[in-house]
Amino acid sequence: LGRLPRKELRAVHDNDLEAFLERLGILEAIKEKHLTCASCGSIISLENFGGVFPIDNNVGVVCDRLECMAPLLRNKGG
Amino acid sequence: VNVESIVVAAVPSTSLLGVIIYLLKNPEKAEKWGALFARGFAGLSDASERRSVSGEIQSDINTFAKDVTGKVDASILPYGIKIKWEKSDNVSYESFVSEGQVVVRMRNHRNQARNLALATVAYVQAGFLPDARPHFDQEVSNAMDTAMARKILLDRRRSDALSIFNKEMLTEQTPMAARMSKIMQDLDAKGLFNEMLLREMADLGKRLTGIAPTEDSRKEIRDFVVFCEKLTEKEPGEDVSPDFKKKLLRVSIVLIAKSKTYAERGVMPHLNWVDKCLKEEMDSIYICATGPHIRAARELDALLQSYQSVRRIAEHSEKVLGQKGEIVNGICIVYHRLA
Repeated sequence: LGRLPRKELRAVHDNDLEAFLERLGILEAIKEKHLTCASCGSIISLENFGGVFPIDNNVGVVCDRLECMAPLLRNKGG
Repeated sequence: VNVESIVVAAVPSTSLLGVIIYLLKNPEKAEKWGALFARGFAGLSDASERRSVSGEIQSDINTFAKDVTGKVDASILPYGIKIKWEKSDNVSYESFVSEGQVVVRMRNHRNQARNLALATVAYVQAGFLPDARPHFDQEVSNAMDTAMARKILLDRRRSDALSIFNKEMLTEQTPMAARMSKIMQDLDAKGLFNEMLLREMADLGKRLTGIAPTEDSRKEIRDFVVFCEKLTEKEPGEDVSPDFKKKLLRVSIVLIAKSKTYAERGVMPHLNWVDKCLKEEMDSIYICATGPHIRAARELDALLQSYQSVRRIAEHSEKVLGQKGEIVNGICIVYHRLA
């Protein structure tokens, strides 16, 4: 009643972030600043981590700048 | 029987029933209240913290989508948004890689402006004009998304989120994308972004569903957006009725703005123009006016209602930006030609 069908946006909350990244096996790499943003190339840390996506049987990451996240979200999130 | 006590007893239950019906009809409002309530316990439980973040975002975006859906066209924003929280114990490297899903980070509710800006970007990218979108080129698509995301954040009065959006999303626009964004902002100030541009795109999306996009269709839509610039650059007191006559889009906009024409000849010049448009098989005719010219628009509207060859689709009134930058009443009446 009175409700639009909804599209899911999958998200991880800050409180669960480290455990989530640990399960994906990339927490240490992020803490040691070994990963870069797939869009702008900046070094990813726990402070600027924005999102994660699968790519070629691997895990890609982007920083938290909206401009870097937008292309990733096209037709995937929301 | 004490009638007064029966009435007194019935009032709370009637009020409660009214509240329940209201919340069933407006689940977004219930979500907002739930989020605010959860915020009180956010420091005590992770579930409340997540609820406080997701509930408020869902409420803001879904309220906006429902409003546009109800007032203009359901296919502009046909979906709402739901934030699905990932729990670490449900995820593994293998499942994540094979499922092909993007997961974004949401921050604590104290940083809700960034969360809302991000969710709005995600929502617009995936849920805005999904039928028409394949027919947009990249610059049209970006300009549309930017205009809609800004509109959502402005509508929800979230200047903090809008500031993040402006700072992080508008840094590397091409000159053409910036021009298109400006056209859309100006159209919105005149009340024509939703009422004309999005309405036309929604109709187009329905007509083109299942049809592969072509370079021609992309170019035509791009040309249409640029054509809209004519509507935003009109000089004060100038009557213009620009039309766009191509293969997919055949649109005429009657902008009534000249008191002298109306004083001398009434609405006849405008009616003659509409007749000409119908002969030329224009599919959509928009009659727009502001301030004192609304009277002429109403007169024209009354005459057109007796026409067998058109169907009155909608009428929309709102405060808009006038020709001299002042806030005035505006009206837009939409007609479609019957085939």
